[in-house]
Amino acid sequence: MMPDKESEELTILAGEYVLGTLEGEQRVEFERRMQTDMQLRDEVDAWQQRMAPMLDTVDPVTPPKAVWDQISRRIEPTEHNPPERSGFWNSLSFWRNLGMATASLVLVLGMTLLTTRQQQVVEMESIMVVLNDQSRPGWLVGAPAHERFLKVKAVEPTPMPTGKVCQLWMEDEQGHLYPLGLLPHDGSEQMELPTALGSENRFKVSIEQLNQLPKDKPSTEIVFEGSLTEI
Amino acid sequence: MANGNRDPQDAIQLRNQELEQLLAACALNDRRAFSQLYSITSAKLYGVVLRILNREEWAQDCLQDAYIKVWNNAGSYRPQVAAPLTWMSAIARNQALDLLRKRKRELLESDDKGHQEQVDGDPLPLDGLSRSDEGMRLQRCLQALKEQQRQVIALAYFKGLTHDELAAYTDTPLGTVKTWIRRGLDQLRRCLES
Repeated sequence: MMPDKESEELTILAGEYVLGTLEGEQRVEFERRMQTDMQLRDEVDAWQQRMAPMLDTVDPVTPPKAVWDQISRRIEPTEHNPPERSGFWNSLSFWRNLGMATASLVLVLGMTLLTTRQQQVVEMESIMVVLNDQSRPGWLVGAPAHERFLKVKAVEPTPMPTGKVCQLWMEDEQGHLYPLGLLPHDGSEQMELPTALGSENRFKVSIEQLNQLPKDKPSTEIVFEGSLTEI
Repeated sequence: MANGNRDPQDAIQLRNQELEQLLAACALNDRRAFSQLYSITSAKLYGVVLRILNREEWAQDCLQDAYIKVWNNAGSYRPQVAAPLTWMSAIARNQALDLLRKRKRELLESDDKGHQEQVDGDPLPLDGLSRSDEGMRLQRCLQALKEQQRQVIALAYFKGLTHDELAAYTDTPLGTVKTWIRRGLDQLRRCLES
């Protein structure tokens, strides 16, 4: 625990950072420190929240249509789209490399602007957020219309000890469970569906041994259960 | 249930859920969801960057960049930290302040000092804050500050004025301005947490 005085000083510094009055060297130093200091990031997030209502005082103004046209052009997939990374059942390195840095939300540190993601673009019909062990969004799951696959992206996955993995299951109307694949530790995955998707389908997650993946039913308790919501 | 019967709080929650799902779909590279997200939120974000930058041309460039950031970083949105629109507005504001800093540097490096921006002296109409519970709390706490403290905080927040610029604008010694801000922030935080 930090002495009160020092902690108060940090709180004010974070306030100045959010306000925008932290300048030059001080600002650079603060941002550098923020990359490793969780407490500092929380302070910044808290200030963003405190001041956010000020932005509500601003009246909305409809931007000219040209702005969207430009944005739309900038996110267009390029010709050099590398193929999506396919299944990585054999890749252990993902599971070894734990402790991914939790991105601070509002702070937008290291946000990318110039390099847009070069990936296959798919329109989603429905979305499910799989919660992690902290009951926060751990993975995003999207189902495109008229397709027999799901897209799964890790956002804040539950850290797993070596050799353990999160397995995603689909349950049909009759309660039959199908293994779909392993929830990725980072990046995104595509998972084939064994049957066409219906609104009655539910999804479950179990924690399994990587070298003994069950095929007919989860071998441990279910840590998450949910269904897709249409958007 | 008819829309008109809904509690405003419920309506906000529904809208947030919708935006959260759209952001999730954006993270999965869904461009149609992004276009929907844009049509729901762009007027709000354009208002924010326009307020900060004043010039439409800059504001439009900035809005573009802000949405590219939203698209590229939708996967790092965390609903437990902030509501979707708060997150997006913060991105837009940061983008606008960055642009402002860059333009100021360019202006300093060139010899053209003739184009100093006129600063709008009261960028924060406090009445606008009464639109939400958090807003009303912030309004009450801002009103408890000294007039000058409130003014420098609002000018820094909305116009990106630096310590030096605030000192010049208010015709006050630099040290005094710094103290106003530090004390103002400290008081604001205590008031909001009480």
